[in-house]
Amino acid sequence: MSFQNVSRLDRTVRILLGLTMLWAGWSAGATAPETAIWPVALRLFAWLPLLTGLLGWCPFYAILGVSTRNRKSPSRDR
Amino acid sequence: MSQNETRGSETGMEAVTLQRLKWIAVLAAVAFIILLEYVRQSIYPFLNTWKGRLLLDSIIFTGAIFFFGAVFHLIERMQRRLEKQNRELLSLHTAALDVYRELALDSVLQKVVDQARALIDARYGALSLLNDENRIETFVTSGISAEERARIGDPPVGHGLLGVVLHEGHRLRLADLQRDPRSAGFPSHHPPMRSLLAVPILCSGPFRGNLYLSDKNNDQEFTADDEESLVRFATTAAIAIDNAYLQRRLRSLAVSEERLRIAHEMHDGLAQVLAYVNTKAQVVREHLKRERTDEATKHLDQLAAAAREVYADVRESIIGLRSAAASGSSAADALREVVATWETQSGISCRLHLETDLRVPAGAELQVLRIVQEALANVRKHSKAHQADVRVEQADGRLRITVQDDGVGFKPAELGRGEFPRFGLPTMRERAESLGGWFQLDSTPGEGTRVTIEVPAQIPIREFSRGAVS
Repeated sequence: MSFQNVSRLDRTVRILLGLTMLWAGWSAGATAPETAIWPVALRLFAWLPLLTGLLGWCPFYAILGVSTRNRKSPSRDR
Repeated sequence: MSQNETRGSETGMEAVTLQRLKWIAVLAAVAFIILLEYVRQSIYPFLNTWKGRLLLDSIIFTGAIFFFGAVFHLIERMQRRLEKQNRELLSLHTAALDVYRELALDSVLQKVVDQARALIDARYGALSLLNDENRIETFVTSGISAEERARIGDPPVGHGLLGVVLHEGHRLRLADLQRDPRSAGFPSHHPPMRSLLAVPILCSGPFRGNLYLSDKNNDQEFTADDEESLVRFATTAAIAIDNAYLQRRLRSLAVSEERLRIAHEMHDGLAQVLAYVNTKAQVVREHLKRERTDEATKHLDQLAAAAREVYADVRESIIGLRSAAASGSSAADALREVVATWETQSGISCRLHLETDLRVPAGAELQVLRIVQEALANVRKHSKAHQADVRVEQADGRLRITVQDDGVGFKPAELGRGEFPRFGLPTMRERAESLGGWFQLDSTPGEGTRVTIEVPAQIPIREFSRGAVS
């Protein structure tokens, strides 16, 4: 889809990172003391790479005008 | 797809983008509230700590980035699309202007295919025009050298994919034309071609044809936007082709009309003079029979004078025909040439006052020049003038041309009473009236002669443009 600005490798890394953060957040939540906020932060911020990886679109890239997609591939709706 | 449908689809595309933007704004607000609620519940125990507040702020910041990123992304896409359309329209406008500058049909066809190729950035281009029997009558190419064309051989007859476009009149956009089952392949020595874009050219005149482009220079396939651009260009090209065809017909009609007029002049003028010569010869013979040599000599002198006059007239007409027939020069240039030639021939000084750009309706140029030539010929023959003036003025959409001399003048009422037949004035009047104008002769003995013609003038292009802008 033409709105995407994240490459396939970038998306894979983001999804893996998101899943790892989620797993770490849940795991740490079970063992860490109740006063520790970082497992919650991990769980919340894990959605950021996960969502951008799944969508293939990163808002930071969009604002900065950056794209890791290969622009040379033919696009039907130029 | 017709032009209206095309325009409709573009407007629809823009409306969808704007509609999407509105939905994003509404849905983003709802999603943001849900997210904040989820975050608030997740960090509820920490809300009173600085870490909790920092986390909440970070989540709000990230959400805002997502929202604005999406909005700016859509705005940028819309802007890019508008810029691209603007560039395409500008290219289309430039290409159309270039095509409209040409009036000769063959040049227009070549320009059309050259400009279409440049507009879409294609490697090869071709244009086919069909005759009444639906066969290709003209096939113009671009991007292929004359040697290559000669090696390929005869132009196509309309088999395979060319035939599909020719007979069905539909657009065709193919990524690989050789894989299409309707393809009939290429003749030997034909350059290899992969992608194809073909659109019909629908002229209102007797022509019907198609515009073909093959292989983009960037080796990508033709896009839907390329197709739409080419369709728009084909519409413009059709008007240019119709215009060139009409110009060709107009020229042909003007030439036929001039031939008829020359025949008419020869019948009324030269034939009458020859009849006069014949009568005079008979009179001379009678005088010689009766040995009245003095009388015979007098008539022979009149014969010689008539022959000289006819010779001068014919020579002047031939030179006039040559100068007017010189193609490529403007009406003003042709008039300057007529005046300069006449000055050399007659030895009488002539001033040309060209107060306006000489623009007359297409086909009328020759008639106006002939009237000026005839008026100047009369100055040379009859006026005994030292000075002549040709004045061109334009006002209220009318073109007025005056030819005036400082010669002996005459009484217009006594015209046609002379022994020698005169046909110049009626012909000038006929010419002016055939253009929807009028002719006037003013002369007084001893005060020179003035010939005035007024014909409808063509509106200069620059005035029309100025009016259109304001």
